[in-house]
Parts: sequence; structure tokens; C-alpha cells
Amino acid sequence: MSTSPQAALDLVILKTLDRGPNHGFGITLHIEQASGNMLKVEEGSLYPALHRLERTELVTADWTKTENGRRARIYSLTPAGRKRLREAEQSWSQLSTGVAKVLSFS
Amino acid sequence: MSIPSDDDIRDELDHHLASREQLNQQQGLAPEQARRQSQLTFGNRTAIHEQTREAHLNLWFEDLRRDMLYAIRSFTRTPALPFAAILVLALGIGSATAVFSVVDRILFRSLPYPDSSQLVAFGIGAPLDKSEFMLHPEYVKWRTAQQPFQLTAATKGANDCDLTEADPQRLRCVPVERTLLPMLGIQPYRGTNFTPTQDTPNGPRVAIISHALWVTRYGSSESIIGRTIVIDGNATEVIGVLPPVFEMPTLQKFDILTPLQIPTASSPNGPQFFLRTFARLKPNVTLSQASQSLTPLFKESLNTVPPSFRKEVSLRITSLQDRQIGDSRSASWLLLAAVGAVFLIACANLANLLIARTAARERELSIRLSIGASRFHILRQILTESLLLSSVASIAGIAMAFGLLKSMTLLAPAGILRLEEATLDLRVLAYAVAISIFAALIAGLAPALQLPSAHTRTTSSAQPRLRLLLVTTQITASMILLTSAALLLQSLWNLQSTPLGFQTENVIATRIALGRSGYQEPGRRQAFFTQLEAFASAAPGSTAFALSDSIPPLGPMQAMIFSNIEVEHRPKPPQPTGGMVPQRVVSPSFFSILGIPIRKGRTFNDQDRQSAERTVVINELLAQRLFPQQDAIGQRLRFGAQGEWHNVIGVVGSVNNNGLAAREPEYYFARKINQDSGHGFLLIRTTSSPAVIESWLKQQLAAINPTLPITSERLSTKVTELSVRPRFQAILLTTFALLGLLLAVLGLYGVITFLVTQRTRELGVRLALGATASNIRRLILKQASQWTVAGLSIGLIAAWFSTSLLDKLLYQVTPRNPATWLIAASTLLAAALFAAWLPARRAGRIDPAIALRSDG
Repeated sequence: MSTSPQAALDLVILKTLDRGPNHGFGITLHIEQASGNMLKVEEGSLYPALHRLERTELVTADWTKTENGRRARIYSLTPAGRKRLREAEQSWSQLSTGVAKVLSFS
Repeated sequence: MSIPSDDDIRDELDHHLASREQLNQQQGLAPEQARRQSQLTFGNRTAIHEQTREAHLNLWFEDLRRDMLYAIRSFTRTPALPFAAILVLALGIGSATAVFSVVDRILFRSLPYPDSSQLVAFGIGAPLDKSEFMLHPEYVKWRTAQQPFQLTAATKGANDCDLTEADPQRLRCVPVERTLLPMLGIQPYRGTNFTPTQDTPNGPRVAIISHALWVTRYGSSESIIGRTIVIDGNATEVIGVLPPVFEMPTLQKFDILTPLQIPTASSPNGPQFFLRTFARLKPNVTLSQASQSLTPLFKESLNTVPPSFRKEVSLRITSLQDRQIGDSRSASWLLLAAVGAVFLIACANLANLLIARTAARERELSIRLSIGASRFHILRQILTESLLLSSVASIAGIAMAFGLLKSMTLLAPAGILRLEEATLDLRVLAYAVAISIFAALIAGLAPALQLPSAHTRTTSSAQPRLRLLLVTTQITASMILLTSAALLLQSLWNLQSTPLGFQTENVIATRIALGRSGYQEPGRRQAFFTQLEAFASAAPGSTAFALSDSIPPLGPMQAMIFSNIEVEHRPKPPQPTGGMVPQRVVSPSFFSILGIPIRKGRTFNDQDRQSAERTVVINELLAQRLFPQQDAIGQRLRFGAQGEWHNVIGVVGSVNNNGLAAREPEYYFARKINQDSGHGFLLIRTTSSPAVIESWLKQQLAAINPTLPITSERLSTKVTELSVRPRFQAILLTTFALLGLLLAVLGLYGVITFLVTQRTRELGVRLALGATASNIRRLILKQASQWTVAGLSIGLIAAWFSTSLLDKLLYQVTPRNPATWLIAASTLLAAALFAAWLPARRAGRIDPAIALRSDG
């Protein structure tokens, strides 16, 4: 998996969904909290990314009704998505350990 | 998985914005600000909506693009296989489309008349002529009494006529009944049809001209209607122009239609016109109903026929389409069947190639499956590849169809029915492309569906069996093709090697037809031929010349019913007609120029040409039939009960007539000095070329008749022309048969090679355990020959039934002729075993040490 910003966003989304199914706004809130506002993206840009993941069958989506009668789209990880997440986490951690080693080498 | 609609995306984004707005309010913002803030943090909503929607579309295109790129990359990595697949498919599509475009015109298209299925040809079938006909007194009776037809129409044969205006021109005129155009459902393009008063004996001279003549000679002038033109010296008024696509039901070429003007009341001893008769059936009347309804009329007409002939005379009624197709029918079906077989072989071959490809990639695909690619993705990838292949092949096939059709039109002899009209048929092309794409899809999908699941990486054994089945199919089809081609070739060989009975070397034939204008009186015709004979002996390089009214192997101008030939002092036996005996009128040196041997007696001399005493020369076949026990010389013959007695002065060898195929009894009259009919052939034996003779003749004739059209041709060319059609058929079928054989053998080669590769390790073990190379070769060859023999056997059975289609096209070969079959079968077997032997030899050379280490 590449390390482009888009790939990073995909990874964060997958990681968030790993905790359980959620809708777009819920994912937004979780990323905000977890990253301490580190990922400063327009909130809306989450949606093209979500739909791309859906198209590549890493996540699936289902409609539910919220308490105030709106339709909400709930995303959840597919087995392929989970597999992709594991691979990506591994390569990320390898990369970051590598980076950390380089940085601490002096 | 469905692509979300715009409404779905709107709802989803609404949900986000509303949730954020709510949260903002809970964090203490005023409602208005809470809304504004939510919109600000969200970003450009319209753009995001677009991007979300495109996420699906983009990916779809992205996937396609990626699959395409992947396909192209993998094709270019191993170009041999995709190249072969494209070639095979293009050949299949190209040949099928081209051939179908040709035969479609002949077999399936309706004729260029409205409701053409109602049109029929009817009349009397008799040995006199191969098509049905009627004599005019009978036709006149039938015309009024008949029940089954809406309308009937008669035509005479086309005759030469001259446009004797300024810039004279030789044309073809056809006398037709005025009902012809209405019966066909055709309106004149300009002007009107003949009126009843014009179509009566001694009616005014009027003409309807063809569209082509109107355009080329009269510049499409609107003032043509009512104009007077001069035909054979007679002022004739043009009353109509035919539509551009008009064709005669007899398919004869013509320039001018004139009214038939048959007398309604016949005088018993007057001339009888020989007519071709056509009709349009009443709606819902079938051919057999019509035939039944005409039977009483036919029986009545039979009374006018001498009793001895009655058995050989029949009532005939056929659809116009069938009459026109005639001889072309068997040839067309044959071609269609042949090209169908080639197409079948091509599709089976393509399937085989694609299966081989998928099988070879089994590992690659399994690996992709196990690292998380979905089955759907892999299927899509394979489908993309199949489609890419078949699209490229389709384009190549279209080009090939164009090329083939062009070369077929160029190669084909003149007179093949409607060939010049044949254009590439788009429906057929679409159909062939659709079938091949379908075949490619099936071939791509079938193996992909039986891909092992991600965890079991075994090689499946079902595919080789499927592939061998496909190979067997190809061999079956090839066997049928080869047998048919071998039969046609044999027939062609027979045709070419049949002795003609005469020699054509250095003989140049020039047809002369004086036409009617200026040669009405016999005296003028006689003067012309006397002058011709006077200078003919001086032709450049000439050693001899002769005049005759017809030349072999073209049919003679006249013929006599055999039973009408009477021998003096012999009672006329009550016998059937005995067929027609052709008659030729020749000058004395005719036999020597053509090298026809004189078996007994002598040929004509100048006395025979001038004296009142009548003489006749008969050929051997006629002599055998008339005088099996006696000497023919000195006997006297009479041709028809009213004829005069002729002395038989000579017996000559028999020659081949009519399409080279048959020798028949024949007799010759001396060309009398005072009896020239106005047409004939000048035969010159010379070492000069036809062009030299032609221009020399034109020079000589300039003084006598400068406008007389003549063409000189080698007699050998005329003879060759007659075998052009069988040769064309044989070449075409042989090409298809070889193509089919090549494809089938390549298919077999591919499968056996594949099997050997797959069994490398096993074969290595065998070799290591002591098997010899020849053991291994035998093992492989045995497997190959099993399937070949299976295909061969089925092919033989199928050919047994299908070659009866050929019956009508063969000359002196029976369709079920063991020698030809043996040749076809052994050719196929040899080719197949050779194809299998190459990989078998390779298998024998496997190095066990390497094979055992390989991971196959």
C-alpha cells in the first residue's frame, strides 16, 4: 500500500471502521478525536474516499433510519477490508519503525 | 452492488451536515451560525457531491483501463497465442461473411419485384429445352382459360437488333407481352406500358427502353418519350423507360422491349412462336394447387403432341426464384456449408487457444485469488481479455471479408448468378462478429469458472479433455471439407482430361452476325458470305478456313428429335423421342480444321454445296444408333416427315458438346452457297494472334459493312471458359478445406504440446525409471491418434451424408468414391500425426534430471 495522503485517509477510515460499523459523521468525529485534529481535511472529502472504498469492496454500506427520521448510511468493514487493514498496518509500522531508527541514529 | 443514486448521495451528505449543525448548536452556537459553520467545515458541497459520484464511475473506467492495460501487457509478453487467436477468428469471420454475402443474394434474397413469392414460371417440359416453354397457340388458349393466376405474361428470346440511326449500335431486343410489367408489379420509370392496341399483330412499332440505354445513349433526356428511333431500319416510337434496377424474369440482358404481338387466332400451318411464360399466382394459391388446376388444360394440349412423345412431355410450374437459381443452388449450398464448417473450426480453435491461455495462467490466477483479488475481479480480467481479442479479430475479419469478396468477384467467371451485385452484408457481418465474441466469452469464462479455489492449487484434468473434444470437432469438420474438396478436384481433373474429340490449337473463331438491317433478302446475305469466303483464305498466317453455323463445344443452333429421323425403307418404329440430335451446317474444311477424323466415306465437297442433291455427314454415335449392323454410307435419311431424303456420304468422329461433359449423336449438313442464314462462325487456322486476325478482318470488311461488330477468339479460350465454373468451385472449396485442415492441425499441435508440457515431470519420472525416448513418443502419439481417429470416424460418417449435396456438381465421379475418400482421410491423418509428432519428439528428449526438478 502506498503512503500517499489518499492512502493515509483510506487507512484511517479502515482503522476507524475496525472498531465497528459507523456512518460518515461518526467516522469524522472519531478521526477528530483520535488524531487530535492532526488530519486537517475538509470534512466532505471523507465521502469520495468512503465511496471509493465501497467500490473496491473494502467496505460495505447499508441504510438505516436515525431517531429524527433521517436516512443514514452505515459503513462496515468487509473481510477484504480487514485483510487490507492488517497489511497496511504492518507496512506502516515497518515504515515508521524504520523512520524512527533513522531519526534516532546519530 | 449498486451505484448510489444522486438522491442517496444527497441524503448522506444532508445527514452529515445536519448532524454537525446539531453538534454546533449543542456547543452553544446560534442556529444561524451553527448552520454556516457546518457548511464551512464541510467544504464545497457541490464539488464533493460530484467527486462522490465519480468515485464509482472513475473506478469503473479505472478498472477497465487497468484490465485493458494488463491484457495488452500480457498479450505482448506472449504474442504468439493472441496473434494466432486473432488470425483464426479473423479468417473465420472474414470467410463466413464474404461467402454468405454472395450466396445470400442467390438463395435467400427475394427478387426485385413486389410480392415476388407469387411469381412463377410455367409451361411444358420436354426434351427440346431444359427450361419450360410454350408454343403460342397453346399459350393463347391457356391464357384465357386458366384459373390459378392473376395475370400471365409471355416473352420471346432476346435477338440482336440494330439501332440504325447516326452512330449505329448493336442492341438486344426482347419481344414481351404487354402484361409482363403489370404481372411483375413494375411501373415504367418514365412514360407508359404497351397498350392492348400496340400489342396486337401488325400493331404500331413502339418500344420501351432500358434505363441504361436511356442514360448512356440519350443522356437521360426527358424528351425521349414520344421520340422516334430507328430499329433495324424501322421507325419506332419510344413510349417508356424502365426503372434502373429492372431485370427480366429470364435474367437475360436486353436494351429494348418491344410488344410481342402474338396472333390470338392461330392458323394451323403458320409459324409457332416459342415462348417463355410467367405468371403471378392468385393470393393463397400454392404451386401444387396451381398445377392441379392447370392439368385439364395441359391434357388438352397434349393432344396436339404426337402420341410417341407424350410420355416425355410434362406440365411444369416452378417459383420464379427457383427457376433463376437453377444450377447455382447446389453450388451455393455447398459453399455455405463449407464456410460454416470453417467457421465452426475457427470458433473451436479460438476456444481451444483461450482455454490453453487460461490453463497456462492457472497459477498466476490462483496466486492473485489467494492474495485477496475477488473471483469477480479475475473473471472481469479474463472477460476483458477475451473481448479485446475478439474486437481486434473482428476488425481484422471485416477487412478480410472485404478483401475476400473483392477477390472472389475478380476470380469468378462471368455469369455467376448475381455475384456482381454482392456487397458485404452488414447483418451477416454483425452476426459473425457476435458469434465469435460469444465464443470468445464462453471460451474465456469456462476455464475461469472452474478455477481452483485459493487454497487448492492442483491442476485440473477437465480442461485437456474439453480441449481434446474441441480438437475432435475440428477434425470432424475438416474431414467433411477435405472429402468434398477432393471430390470436386477429382471431378475437375476428369473434366480437364476428357478428350474433346477435336483439336483447338491455332484455331481462331470469329462470330459473325449480320443482324437484320440491310440483310433482309437472302441474296445480300449470300453475297456477304461469298465475299467473306473469297478473302478469308488470305488471312495472315492462315493455312485453312471454314464456315459453320455453330462450333463445338458450344451447343449447336438447331436439333432434331431422334425419332423424327427416318431411314429410307425402314418403318418408323413407335418409340419414345430418344432425345435431341444436334445439327450443324458446315463448309467442307470444317472437319479438317478441327481435326475431327473422318471414319468412313468422305467430307463435303464443292459439288455438294451447289448441287440440288442433298447430302449429310453423321457422327459415329448417330451411325451406331441408326445402323448398328449396317454400313451407314449410301443410306438415305429424312429429317422430319416433310423433309427431303439426304444421302449419307460420311461418318466422322464424335465431339464433346455442352459444357464439355457429353458426347452425343450429331449430324452435319453442307453449308450451301445459297442458304446462308446470316450468322455463323469463321474458323481460321493460323499462327497469328486473335487481335491480328480481328483487325485484319475489320479492314477487309470495311468495304462491305464497316459497322459489323466482330470479335475473334482462340477456340482454346472458348473451351477453357467452359471449365471455368467447376474450377472456381473447386478452388474455393479446396481453399476452405486447406484452411480448415490447417486450423484443425494447429489446434491438435497446440493441445498435444500443452499436454506434454503439463506432463513434463511425469514423463521425466518414466524416463528416469527406464522408459526409452521411443516409448515416450509412442505414448504421446497414441493419445493424439486416439482423438484424431475419433474425429476422423465421425467425420467420415458425416461426410457420407453430406457429400450427396455434391452430386450435381460432379463429373464422372460418384460422391461415395472409395479412392477419393481414402485420399482425404490419409491426408488428414498424416497431417494430424505430423502435428502430434513434433511435441512427441520433444517429449522424448526430456532430460529427466531437469524435469524432476521442475515444479510443473
